[in-house]
Amino acid sequence: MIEVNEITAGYESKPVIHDISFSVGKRALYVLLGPNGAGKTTTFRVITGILPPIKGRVLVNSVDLWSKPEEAKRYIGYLPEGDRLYPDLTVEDNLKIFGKIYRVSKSDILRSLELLGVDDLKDVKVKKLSAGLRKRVALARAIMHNPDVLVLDEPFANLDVESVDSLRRIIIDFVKDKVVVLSTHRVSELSYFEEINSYLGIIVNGILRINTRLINAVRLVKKPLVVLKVSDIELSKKILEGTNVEFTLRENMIVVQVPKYEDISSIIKLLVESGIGVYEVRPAEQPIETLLKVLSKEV
Amino acid sequence: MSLTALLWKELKSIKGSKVIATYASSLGVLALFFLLIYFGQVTLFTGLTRELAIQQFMKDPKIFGISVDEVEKLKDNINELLALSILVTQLPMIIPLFTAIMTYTSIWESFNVEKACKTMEVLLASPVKIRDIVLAKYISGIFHGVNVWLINVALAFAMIQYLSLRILGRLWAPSEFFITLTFIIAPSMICLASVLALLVGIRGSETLAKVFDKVIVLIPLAVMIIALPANLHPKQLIEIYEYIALASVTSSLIIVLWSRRMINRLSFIVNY
Repeated sequence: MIEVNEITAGYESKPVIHDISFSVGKRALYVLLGPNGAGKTTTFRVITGILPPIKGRVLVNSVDLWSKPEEAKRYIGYLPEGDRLYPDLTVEDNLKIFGKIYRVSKSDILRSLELLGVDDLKDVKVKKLSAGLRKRVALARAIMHNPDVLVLDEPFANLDVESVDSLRRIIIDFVKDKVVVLSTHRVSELSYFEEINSYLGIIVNGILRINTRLINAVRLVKKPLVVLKVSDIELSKKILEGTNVEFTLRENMIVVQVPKYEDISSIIKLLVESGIGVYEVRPAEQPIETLLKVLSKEV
Repeated sequence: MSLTALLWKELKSIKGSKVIATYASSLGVLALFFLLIYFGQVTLFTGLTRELAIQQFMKDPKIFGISVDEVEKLKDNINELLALSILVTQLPMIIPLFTAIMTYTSIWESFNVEKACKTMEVLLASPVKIRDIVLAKYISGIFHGVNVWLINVALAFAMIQYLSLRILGRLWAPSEFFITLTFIIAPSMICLASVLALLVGIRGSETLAKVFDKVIVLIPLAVMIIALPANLHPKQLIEIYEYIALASVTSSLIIVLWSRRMINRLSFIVNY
């Protein structure tokens, strides 16, 4: 398990994160949600032993990360944002480097590549792989020493839909016997982890504002947001105010919250029948602030 | 254990890097020297090279391992004399240059690879000491520097032997000049180049890199340039070289002691 106790980190004069605390036990997922620049990566750099905290401590399987770094780091597998692989080396050589550091046998390296479905690419140079495949290789590197705690920084960033789907399945599988800590800036990601033992932390401006069970947030996330670009925003507003539809205005567009995506057709029909042109309809990401506002009232 | 792993990584990751190009160019220059001498095309060397070689050589051939009598006998065959003088006076001078460039390039390039691939973060998250990461880069740089140095010395020595046998009909004994340049100046350049590269790498500073890139070429070039004044006796030249070597080793030691304090985890994260 991992215990993070009141860590403050960054520059002495200007800390990036302040008094962050959370703990995650075995077979659980902790999602750290926050907008870009909120301090997610800094938090992860501290809990993986990259960046020393100004204050606070991190215990990994009860071992203090900053007083016994070599021991504690063996329990951690880390997937940084991006893949951070050596592009001119083959997939296998990339893993071998860290395999030697973690004292992992060749068969364990091949097993982790197999687990991620990239074993047939072991002799291919990393620079020839797609972003999705590189991410799998990086994840294979993170898990090859069978760590107890897996830390994944923005694992879904810059991946195609298919890669995101398969990566999610892999993560859910890991949670069956490990601790997984992952960060994301996308609220919509939360709903995919509702069925496993998961917790949520929301970080904004370096402060952990919410620490709760993920399920509490998922019911809010589950109501989809849809953005409508219309010909007459004022008239649309007037019409929607006369209904029980939840909506907000955002940069000359209407953002409606519906119980399910299918419900949007009746709203479009209502607007069109009132003579309003609807030019664009697309799903929108729930703003973190909204989630924060609602959860703050409840927690 | 982690140091061994990191060293393995360093040796593996030279594929496609400038290190290979530096090996190739150092061997290429030596091969060019040999081909020009072998085919008797000494006129293709620059006028300055030829003039400098013959001037230095004629001042005191003994310092270059050739007796005065042998020079007298060669005066009728100016091409052979020129070829021999170029090999014994100029060839040892390029060895410190390539040795310095190789040592510097391999260390700095190794830091550059981490910067370009952003892999320093993954290394820092693994159970290795930051000191071992730096040390592995240093040892690997020294390894490549020593490689180029020894290969160049062996090839230069073989070339001079070949010409000595062809022209003088005897084996050539390494001269004082050859030994000074190859066994004193070249290793001192390895020391200097390695610590300058380490300094640039630790700081991750592009500005510092731009300055040191020039320094590392200019110092060995200075070794050649100070040989230009016609009135400088080869004995004096050897003395100057010994001072350069001493200064390089001393400054390297000072920088090493100083740089230990400069290894800063935060700077690695910010700059890499």
